[in-house]
Order: sequence, then C-alpha cells, then structure tokens
Amino acid sequence: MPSFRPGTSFRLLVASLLPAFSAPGAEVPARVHADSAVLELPAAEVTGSPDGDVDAAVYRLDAAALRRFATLEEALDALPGFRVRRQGGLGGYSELSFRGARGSQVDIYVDGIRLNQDGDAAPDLSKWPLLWFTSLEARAGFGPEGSGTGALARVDLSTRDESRANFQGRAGSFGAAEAALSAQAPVGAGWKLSVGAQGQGARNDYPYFSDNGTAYNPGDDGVVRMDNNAYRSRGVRAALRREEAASRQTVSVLWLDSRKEYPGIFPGDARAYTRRSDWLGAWRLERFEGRLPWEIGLQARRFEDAYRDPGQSLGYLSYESARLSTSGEGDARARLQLAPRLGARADARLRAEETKPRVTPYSAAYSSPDATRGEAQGGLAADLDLTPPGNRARTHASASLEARGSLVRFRAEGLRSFPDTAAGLIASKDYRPTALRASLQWGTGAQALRHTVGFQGRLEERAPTSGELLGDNVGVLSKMDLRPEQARALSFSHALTGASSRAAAKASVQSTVFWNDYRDPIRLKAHGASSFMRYENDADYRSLGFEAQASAGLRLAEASLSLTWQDLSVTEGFYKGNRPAYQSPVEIHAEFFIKPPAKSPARAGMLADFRSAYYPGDANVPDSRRAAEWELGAHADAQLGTGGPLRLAFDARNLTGRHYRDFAYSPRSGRSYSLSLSFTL
Amino acid sequence: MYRRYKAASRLNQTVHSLSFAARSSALAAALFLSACDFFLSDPGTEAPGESGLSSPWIGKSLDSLGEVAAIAVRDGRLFVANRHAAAPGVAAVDTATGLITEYYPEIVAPSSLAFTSAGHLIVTETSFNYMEGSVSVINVPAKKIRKSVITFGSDNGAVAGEDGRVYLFDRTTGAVTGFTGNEPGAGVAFDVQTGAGSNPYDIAVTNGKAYIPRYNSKSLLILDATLLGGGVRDSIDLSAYSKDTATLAPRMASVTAHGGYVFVTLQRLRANYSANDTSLVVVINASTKVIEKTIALRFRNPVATAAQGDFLYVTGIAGYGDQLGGVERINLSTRQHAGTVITEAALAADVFDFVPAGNGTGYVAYSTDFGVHTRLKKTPSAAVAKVAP
Repeated sequence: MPSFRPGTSFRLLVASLLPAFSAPGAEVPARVHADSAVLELPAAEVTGSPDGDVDAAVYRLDAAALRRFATLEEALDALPGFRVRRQGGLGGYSELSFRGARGSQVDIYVDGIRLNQDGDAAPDLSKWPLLWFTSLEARAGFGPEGSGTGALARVDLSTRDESRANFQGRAGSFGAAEAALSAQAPVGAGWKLSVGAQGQGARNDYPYFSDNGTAYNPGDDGVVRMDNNAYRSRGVRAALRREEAASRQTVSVLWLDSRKEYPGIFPGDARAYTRRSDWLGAWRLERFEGRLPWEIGLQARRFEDAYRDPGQSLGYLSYESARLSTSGEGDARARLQLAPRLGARADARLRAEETKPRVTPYSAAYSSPDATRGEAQGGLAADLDLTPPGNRARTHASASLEARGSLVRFRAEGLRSFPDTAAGLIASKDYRPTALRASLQWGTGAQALRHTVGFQGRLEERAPTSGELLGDNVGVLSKMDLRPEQARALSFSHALTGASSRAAAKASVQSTVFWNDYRDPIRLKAHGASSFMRYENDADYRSLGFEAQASAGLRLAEASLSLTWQDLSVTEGFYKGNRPAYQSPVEIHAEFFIKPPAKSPARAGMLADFRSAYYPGDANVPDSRRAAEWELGAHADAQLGTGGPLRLAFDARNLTGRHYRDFAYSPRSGRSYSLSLSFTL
Repeated sequence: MYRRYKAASRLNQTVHSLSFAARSSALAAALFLSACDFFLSDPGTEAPGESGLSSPWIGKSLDSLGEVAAIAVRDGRLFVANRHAAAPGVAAVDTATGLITEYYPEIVAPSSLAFTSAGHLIVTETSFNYMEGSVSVINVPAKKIRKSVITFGSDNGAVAGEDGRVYLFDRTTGAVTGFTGNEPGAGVAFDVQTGAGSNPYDIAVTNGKAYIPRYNSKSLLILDATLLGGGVRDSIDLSAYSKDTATLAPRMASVTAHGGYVFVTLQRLRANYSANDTSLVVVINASTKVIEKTIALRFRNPVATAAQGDFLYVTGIAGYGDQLGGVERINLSTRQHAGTVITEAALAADVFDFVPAGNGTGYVAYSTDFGVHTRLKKTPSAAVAKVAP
C-alpha cells in the first residue's frame, strides 16, 4: 500500500511556514462565522473566510443565478474547473469531474450533510431538484475547514429561505414540469420550523436526428423521437432550528424519491429504469462563544438505489443491480486559541455504512455480497495569523496547516466473483488514507478595492469505496487489491473585488493557476483479455491549468465570464502523453444581461457555453475526437409590481440545437424553452 | 527511397561551400538523383503503414502472449489478438516453431480478427473501458499495419463472410457493416441495423441471404445480403429452445453456413445467465427455413466456433471456473456430432476459443483466472478417444 512521500515542493512549503508559528502579535478573535453554510438542515462543516476577505477559488451562485439553469449539474458545469458529463433531459444521469479529477474527489453537501455514499463513485446531482436550492457554493480548496480526506473540492447546496412562504413553478418543453413549496414559521421556545415539498416530472420525448447506427446507409436515417426517457421525482423536507446568541441547534429530515427511465440507443421497446429513494436525518448543535467554540452532529441515511430491466429490454446492458445502503455518522469539531496569533482546530468523524444487495431474478447469481465499511477520521490544524501589526483594518494574512488521518475498515461476506478471492470467503480490507494541506492567504484593501492572493498545497489519499472493491453487478466484478488513489495539488489564486456605491457598480475577478498530479487513479476498465470490467488503479495523469471567473455589475447591465483552460496529460504507461477521456482543454460560460430602468426589477440577456473538442477515451484515436460544442441561451425575468411577491421568468436553452452525446444513451435534448413563476411572502 | 532522398539532401548542403560551377554541377547531380528516385522507384511496391518486424516481441515464444482475445490461422501462421495493457497488438506466430515472427502494435487493444479475400487481416479494437473502438488493417504480405483506419463502435467484432466480404459488428448499436476489398469504410455493400439492443454476434451468407444471430433476440434475422439496407426483413423464431423465461432469447452465439444448411449455436442460458441446460446446434435448411434437427452439445455455453472443411469446432466454457467445458466437433456434411477435441478438465482451465491449424493440430485459448490472462496451447484438432461425453 503506498504511503505519502511528500515531494520537494511540498517540503519547502511546509518548511517556509514553520517559522511563522512563533511570530508574536496581537490577539486574534476566533474565526467562527455565524453566516456559515449552515442552512435549513444542520451543517457538518463550518466554512468561511477571514473577515472582509474574498475567498479565492470559491464560486457562489445565488438563487437568481441558479434559476437560469435547467439543472444543478448544468449550474455546476458553468463554474471554473468543473466538468459534468450528462445524459439528455431532466433527471438524466450525470458525472462530475474537477480539474481532471473524478467526481469521487469532490465532496457534495446538502445543508451540511455529505451526500457521498460508500457505494457511489460520486453523487449524481441530476437527481436533486434545482428549485429546492437557494444557493450553490463550490470551494476549490481554500478555507480553513475543507472536506474529508481525499477530497479536492467541496460543493455546498443550501435550501435556506428567509421568506415566510415561497412557491416556485416551472414548465417547459418535452413535458417538463417542476414545483417547489416552502414555508417557515416560529413554533415557540425559540424554535423555527421550516418545511418544503417538491415534485418534478418530464417526458423527455424530444426529437433528434439518428443515422440508425448505420453510418454508410443513408436510407434509414431520419429524425426520431426519444422514447422511454421520462423522469419524475418527489420529495419533502422539514427542519427545526433554534438560533441563539451563543448557539444554534437544528434537527432535520429529508426524503427524496426519483424514477428515471433509460431509453435504448435507438427508439425501441427498452423499458429499463433507475429508482432511488433517499432518507436523510440529522441533528447538530453548535456553540460559538468562549475560548473553545465547538459543534457536534449526528446524521443517518437510508439510500436505496436500483437499476431495473425486468423485461431485459436492453440486452446485455440489462444487468440489474440494486442495493440498500444504511449509514450513520457522527462528527465533532472544536477550535482553540492557543496563542494570540495561533489557533488550533480539531475534528473527528466516525462513520459506519452497510450495503446490502437487493436481489432480482436476473442478479441472483451475481449480486454483490453484504458489505460493511467503517471509517474513523480525524484532523488537526493550526491557523496562524500573519497580519502585520498596525494594519489590521486593511490587511489580513494567515497560514494554515492541516493533517488528516483515517482508518477505513471494509468487510464483505462472501465474495461472489473472481479472481482475487474465492467465493464464499469473508473478505476484509483496511486502508489508512491520509491528507496534508497547507495554505497561505493574504488580503488587503478596503471594500472599494479588495485584493486577495492565496497559495495552497495538498496531498490527498482516498480509499476505494466498497462499490469499487466489490463491483456492483455481473458486468462489474470485484477487485480486492485496489490501492488508494492519490492526488497532489498546488494552486495559486488571486481575487480582486471592487465596488462603487456612487456608480452602483461592482466588479470582481478571480483566477487560479493549478497543477494537480493524480497517482493510481481508480477507473473502471477491463483487465487483459477479460470482457468483464472492474475498477483498476490506472495510469497516472496530471492537470496543469488556469481558471478564472469575472463579473461586473452596473446600474443597467451585468455580465459574468467563467473560463477554464487545462492541459491534461497521461504521464505513464501506454498512453503516456495522451489526454485523458472526456476532458476538454477549454471551457467557457458567459452571461450578459441588461436591466431596464424600471420601478420593478427586471433583466434580460443571453448565456453562452463553449467546450473545446475532447476524446472519449485515453487512446486519443484522431477519428474519434468529439467536435467542440457551443450553446446559446436566453433569459428574461421580471418582478410584477414594486416589491411585489410575484416573479416571472422565461428561459430558452440550447438555441444552437446541439444534440451531442456524453454517454451512449440519450443525446442532449436540443432547443428547449421554459416559463417560471415564483410567489414569495 | 527515404535514404536516397537524404543522400540527395546532404549533397545539396555540401554544394553551398563550393564554387558556382561546382555548385551548379553538384546541384544538377542532386536533381538527377532526385529525378532517378522519382522515376525509378515504384510507389506501388511501398505499402503504407507501420512495420510488424520491429517489435521486441519478435522471437518470443507463443507462451509469452498472455492476453489472447482472438485467434486466426492462415498459411501456416497463427495470428493472435493480444490485449496486453502496455503493448497491445497482433502477433503472427510460426506454427512450426511456435515463435513470434511479426508483432503489429495497435493504438487500441484488439478484439477480433478477420481475413479479407485478398489475405489482409482486419482487426477490430476496443479500448479497455469500452469507450473507444476502431478498425486497423494488416497488410499480411507486406507485413505492415495501418492503425485505426476508421473508428467503429466501442464493443465491436469482425467476421469473414462466405461471400468474400468482411462484416463489422457494433454490438452496442446493433449495426452490421459488410465491405469488400481491404479498406474498411470503403466498398461498403451492406449496412444494416439488426434491432435496438439486439446484440448481433455473427453472420453467415449463403445464396445471397445473410443469417444474423442476435444474442438478445428470440429469432434468427435473415436479410438480403445483396442490398445495402438488407431488403425485407425475415426471421426464424428460435424461442422454443430458450431457457430464459423472461426474454425467451435462446442466446444465439454463432452461425455457420455449409452445404445449403445453416448451423446456429444456442447457449440456452437462464435468465440469470447461468449455464444449467444443454446447449444446442440448430440445423436449418436454408432453402426451406425449416429446422431439420438439433444437435446436443456436450459442453454447455458455446462461446466460440471455427469452421474448417467439413468440421465445425465449438468451444463451450460451461460455467466460469467449473472446468466442465471443452472443445467438440460437429460434422457439417453429415450434420452429426463428431467427438470431443479437448476438455477443460484436461487443461485444468476455462476454454475461450479454438482454431484448427491443419495437419491435425489446433490451438486452444485457455485461462485459469477467468479470462484476465488467456494463453494458447497447441492441441490435436481431431476427436480424442476415451473422453467421456
């Protein structure tokens, strides 16, 4: 099992930070933020930045910005560094990557509850309804509280709503309809109750051009309709929250159920579908005051995920797979001010998860065994205030050093597959992934012009999930000798914000240069001549790139631009020098809106997306390269009446009518329109 | 030719240091050399592609090939599709010495082999993650390979038809594409969709009709092989032989045409893909489309067939790891079972493929780790006596 061997650059970074710990200085208040990402459901992590500073490499979308996208994964795809492969239509499967890393290296939280399950490579964001959420924050590494061991980025989705009641509805092309309702009210003794419900549905029966798979026979080409691609979801949530000057307590539950049909590659009689049912419950207590602020939380989850094809309508792709995952997790964290300029943080997390297969007539002979996975994780961090004395009003400088360690114990009862372990044996595997993180951040200036730079180095190790070790059905076999995958990341970020109250103008620019080196990445592939697939430790690769986000707002107009440029390269093995699959060197998202001078707020404008050409595999066969993709969209919204509760919006998406496929099934839907309405009290 | 061009170029460089007259003479000489090169060399003799004679694999023994995905024999040479992770390619092995004489490196790992009527080898390739697929062409006489000439499918295969065409299979989309000549993508004479999710496995052509077994279908598809789109679709229902109560698919694995008959192997797996029932070869009269008989196979779950002369060699793997499979023969002329060639028990391994190599010998592809490593062993191709059925 590989262990961390910090490179020269990392050693130099750590060495350069060590003398700073002895620096004397004035007292620094503990940096726990009341306006953290804790929302309707209790938060497992507190995130924030030095007071007054703009976090570098942190991207936020508020409710208005989120609503311009059809789905959460499209919203995330528009942010620098993030790439989402997705099927067409509402609810279509999506797969996330970040700076070339797999989605499993991105932690995703809903109101502070981590969604990454043990059996999953990464949470499928397409199954989470966009209308439920009021903000999305993607943290590309900075911030004193990061994610768990192995994560390179963290995405926080929030349902927090300050209104008394809110209704949102959206209807559009291809039979899509969505609605979400939320309400908040005090219930006594300082407690506030928040409830919400949502429903989504879409026929997704869009037309597209098909050559019927016969590229040399134009006689059977034509426009066909995507059948059996429907999606529906429904969910409810409730939260009780009590906020006091020195503490906050929340109790919450959430249920989300979805069903997505999977069409055949061509119109036919395919009748496969996925069914997911998710129960989440959480409790959290936070204390802010005193020399030792702390928080403690518990969460439980029951997650059922099934792929069914009872009629075996997708042929050899009909391998059914279903599992029930039950998990419990507890965590605690505390801060301690050790010295005027030196703070310490400690956190611990205990997690247990059991995964049981749900056997069907078609998976009885091959289904995965029962598996349990226990994880104990702890982290220690030191935060050093490096702000020069006498300039605290305008300048803040800090350094953080964090070390994390985990013990992961995996156990499966009766492996079904080969060749690593004979059937019927109990398999057990221990991993000890670790992480080392160091960051340095410096900010200066006033609100009119604020400037922040940051440097970060990370060594992250991620243990294989039980899904990767065991496989999930007859098509994906177990491989018990997987090694943890590693990532080494260095980044330098810069943020510049400015505002002028006289001109009602504000602007910000963020940019990051990054270098990520991925060792032993765990990827799904066949081994040797076997046609069975399994997860393997694949060839190392690296990503070197630049990402930027710029936004400007004036009285009559606003615009934003997200740009990612990255050079990815396989660094060993047969495909050394090639670009890894599904990675585009350039991705751009741009928005421009005009705001007419009217009593009621309104805006209208265009959105554009560009993704440069990419290969679907590591072999980089020239003929297989997918063409560059670009999309245009339009958006208009208006609030009816001055300060009125009613807001209307119109969206046109993919006006260029592109139908490209990120996966074999379900091409993109092409041009679509939607009309949205929200009513807020 | 390249060396001669380089010599002329060097001469050109030299003339710069000489007098004008000398330079003129030297230049004239260089032009003369280049002209000789242009007119005297025959561009037709220089086949394009990368040589198969410069690989470190050459000279190694047959046993060094550990990821065998497909095998084919021609003119005393065994061609092996080797899905080696670091050096995928096609090896040519001298059947007399058992040594590799050529090794054709690939960009994508090879998945199947089929000879064109002119003796070129068509190689389909599928990446290890099933995301990419392409087709390469080995000019066997010239010992050169043109890599990834076209992209084609991501779970693909190739079959040499009885009509001289090579047929390419895209099992994901269900497309079957037949072409004449040595250039995939050119000379396409047949390009059909066999049905969404039908998973075509093989093709046999006789009397202008194409017979296509589809792994996920109940019926054997019959098309007009003379038409690009296959003409009117016809089929023969074989669901009566299915043991899969859900799909009624008898899991057709291969087809062979011989003497006016069509022989279809049926795995007859159950709904959970277990091989618990006797597999069959269904014999169909091609002119009447009537099923004349079935031949029970000794080894369940046939995964590969190879026809040579009057015999059809059927490789049955039974269950993975159970060593209940083997290779057996069917006499295509008498339409009778013709004995066992080799058993998994004798090999202490699973069998994946078999190809007869002439002179009473053959090569069997076997694995002791469920196909991760698949090696080859030279065996007799005749039926072995004293082997219990």
